[in-house]
Amino acid sequence: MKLEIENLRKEFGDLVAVDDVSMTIEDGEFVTFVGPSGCGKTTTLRCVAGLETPTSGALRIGGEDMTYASPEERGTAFVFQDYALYPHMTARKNMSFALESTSMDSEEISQRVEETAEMLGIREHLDQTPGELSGGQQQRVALGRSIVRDPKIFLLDEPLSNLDAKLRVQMRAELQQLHREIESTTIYVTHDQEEAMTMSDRIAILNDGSLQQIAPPEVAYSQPANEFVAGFIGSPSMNFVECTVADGSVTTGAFSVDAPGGAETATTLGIRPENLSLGHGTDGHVDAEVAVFEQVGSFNIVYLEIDGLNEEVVAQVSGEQQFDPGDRVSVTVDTDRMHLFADDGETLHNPPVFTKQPAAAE
Amino acid sequence: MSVATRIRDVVSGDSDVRTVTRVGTIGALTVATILVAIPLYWMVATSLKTSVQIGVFPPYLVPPTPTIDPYVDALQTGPWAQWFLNTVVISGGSTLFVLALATPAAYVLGRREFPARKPIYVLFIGILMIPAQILLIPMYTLFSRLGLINTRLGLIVAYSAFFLGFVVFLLHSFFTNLPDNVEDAARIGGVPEWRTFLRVILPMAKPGIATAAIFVFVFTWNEFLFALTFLQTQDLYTISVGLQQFQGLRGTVVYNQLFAMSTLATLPLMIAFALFSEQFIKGMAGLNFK
Amino acid sequence: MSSRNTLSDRIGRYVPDRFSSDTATEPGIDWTPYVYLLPALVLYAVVLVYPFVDTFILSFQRVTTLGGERRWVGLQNYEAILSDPIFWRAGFNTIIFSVGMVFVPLVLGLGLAVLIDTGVSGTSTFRSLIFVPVIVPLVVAGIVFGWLLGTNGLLNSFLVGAGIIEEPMRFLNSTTWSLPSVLLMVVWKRTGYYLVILLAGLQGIPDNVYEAAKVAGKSRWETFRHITLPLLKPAILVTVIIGIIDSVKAFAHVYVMTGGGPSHSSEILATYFYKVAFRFFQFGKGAAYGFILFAIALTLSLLVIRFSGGSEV
Repeated sequence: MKLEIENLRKEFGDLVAVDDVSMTIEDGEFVTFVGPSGCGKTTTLRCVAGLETPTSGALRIGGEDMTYASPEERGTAFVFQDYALYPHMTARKNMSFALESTSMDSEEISQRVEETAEMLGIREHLDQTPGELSGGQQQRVALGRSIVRDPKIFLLDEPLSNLDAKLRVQMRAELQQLHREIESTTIYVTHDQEEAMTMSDRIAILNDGSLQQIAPPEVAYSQPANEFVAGFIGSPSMNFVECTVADGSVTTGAFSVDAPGGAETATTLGIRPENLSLGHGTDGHVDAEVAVFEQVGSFNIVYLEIDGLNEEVVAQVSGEQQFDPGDRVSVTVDTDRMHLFADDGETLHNPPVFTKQPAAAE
Repeated sequence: MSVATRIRDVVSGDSDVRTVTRVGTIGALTVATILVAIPLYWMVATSLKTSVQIGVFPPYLVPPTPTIDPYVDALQTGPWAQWFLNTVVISGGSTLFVLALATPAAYVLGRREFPARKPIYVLFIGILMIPAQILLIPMYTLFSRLGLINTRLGLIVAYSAFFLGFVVFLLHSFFTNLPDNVEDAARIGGVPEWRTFLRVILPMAKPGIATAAIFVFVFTWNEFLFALTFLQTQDLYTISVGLQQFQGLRGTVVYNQLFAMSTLATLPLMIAFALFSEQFIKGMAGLNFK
Repeated sequence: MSSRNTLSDRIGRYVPDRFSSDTATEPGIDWTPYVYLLPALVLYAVVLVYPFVDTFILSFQRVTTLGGERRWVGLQNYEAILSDPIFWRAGFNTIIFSVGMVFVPLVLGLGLAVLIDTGVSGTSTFRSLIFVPVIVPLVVAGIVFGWLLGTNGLLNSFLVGAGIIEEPMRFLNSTTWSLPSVLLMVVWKRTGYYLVILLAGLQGIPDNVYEAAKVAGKSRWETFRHITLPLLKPAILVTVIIGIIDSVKAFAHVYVMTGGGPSHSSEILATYFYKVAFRFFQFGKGAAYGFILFAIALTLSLLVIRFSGGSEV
């Protein structure tokens, strides 16, 4: 079911939690709302669900205006961060409870519950109560409770944040699989940008109540609309360095490179850690001293103090490169992947977006 | 550190000091418990003595020839069984009635926003501050006119009204502390409100409801003033009233019989307590943390 | 498991309105909450509010028979009561009574709670046993203590046997000892109640708070005074308020044991009230008396709340 959000605004007293958010989500899309705590993503989600009433703006589900409709009428399903299972009912009952208020007969209900449980792999736990289930199993029951209702839109509010790291990664893959099977419109809220990147068709980045950018993950990554998005997406975060542009050159406190066209008013240069390469010679753009070296494994992170720059810069290098704190290195900037931002944070220049590699020609 | 922690530390530490403090603490507690138990022991012991034995001074500490005659004799002097029955009916009836009325009220007061919510809540709490006595006369008058004086139903209605405020107060905090999300989940699922209330909220509030039930039952069982005033014919008396009359009626108080009946009056509560002590205690403790 | 939307946690002061009528699609007021409230309110209005108002009116009238004629006498009833020396005697006795009903059991309960909180074995047994008197019917307690303190009773036999006195004393019948005798029963009956509440409060204080104090070098008395007691304050406060109100309302305790005598030496406000209203058939006066009691209870609670700083309700 298609969802249209138009100029949504939600105030809590003096606090503006959601400020003029608009977007259209197509039927079957998986969109993630992501942003730091307090950015308004959960509030927006709750407005879509009908758990909050918008102060102004409109919401349309499948073309029908549902701005002020009660949650029951919207045909949405909501998975809470803490699952919100009925503690005194078995998993089976948890899943069938809502259906009992519909016109479905008990046989049909029972069948649906069984099928959904099968799909989620919790069939043998159906007769246990939430207290007897592990976190992961509880989560699946919460999911199952939503799935059986065959909703028009799936809303998930940070469903994985209460799980331990390993389980979280596993569930991520399972959720994606589930989405492929069920094919319903899904909105997923998280503060974890990695989750957002890996699971979504498009991500919507919010900050301070307003929508910063909504785009497919690879676009958000390589073509951020502003400094906030650039810094939020990607880990370790993009490096930001003060600069000025004049006479075709971008000049920072430590080095100068050729400037692309159209970016004369840029005041900040952005470069991702993986687009910095380090060498032991002196043939790079600038020299630096290693401050901290983090061994991660498949790649390593190097914190650098660059001669002439106030800002600390982070570089990401391959796992084979090892450095010690205090080493002198030479830093090379991949100028093809440089970003330039204006004073107000708006992006003036982005490198080209990543595209899928064509199959290798014979 | 607190006295308790210091003692606890010692208890788990050096064994010599540990033993002494430990013994001291247990000793003090045992003495306290014995002091508390004395009156109860006395009641039961005296109930097993003969009429001759109770007149002796200094009194026997242990009944020399335990007999249940006092029980048998006393039971014949008044409609005790009837009195027990009355008390059970009245206490049970009040408990059920008050819960039936107060639970929905506490639910909306705790979980719904609507105009007049706060004033109404204060109104209910206000009852707690009213000494029941001041309402005695006009309630008596009112109930007379309604034909409810000298009926068990009348007393049930009166008790229910009185405990309304208390139960609303108790349940209100329980309902407020129930997680929001579970209710939201039901709402989103399309479940109508009354169904959510009955099938989701109420089961989750069981501990609170059980606590309230225990309270009301015990309080009404032991209540005296209103029972004394509202029930006028002897065969309607509750246990408390019956006992009091028994004490006052006789010229010379036949203590062993009196105590025998007192023991019987206490017994049901004792049994209930033995069965539900955890709940009792948790309830009383939880009551005071709003 | 968080029970609130995390955003509103952060907002803190403002809670989003849940289920308020503006999410309903039908225009107009949402009647549902009122339906839930209705039965309780009806009972309340009929059985309590109406008589309350009636009492108020009655307090300004003179009535001698139920349903009989009522005559307006203005503040006469109130004056009569406030100038009645027995009333003041009863008030004084009630203050003493409240010490026995509230403060002594509180201190004893606290002491016992601290002992039990040390975690020696048998905790719940001690707690349960000491709690038993709380549920013993009041009338039974009164009767038993009446006997224990009687001329043939255990206390006398102990005192005489130990040579402390020569003849048994008449505790319940003496003007000096009647009230203390009742208080003995009250302390016995209430200590367990305070024990349970304070113990729960003590057990609710996490260990690491004590450990932090220990590391900071506090003595055990200091910790008790500055950490334990303040943390227990809410529990203590509530029970004290309720206890004081209970003292004003307390009737059976005295009535069963001494009936208020001899010569009103153990008369407390509630027992005298009963006599004025019912024995002397002065209903108007009784109503006025009742209102005075209400005013006292109300003032006391407000005072205690104010004194402790801020509303706990």
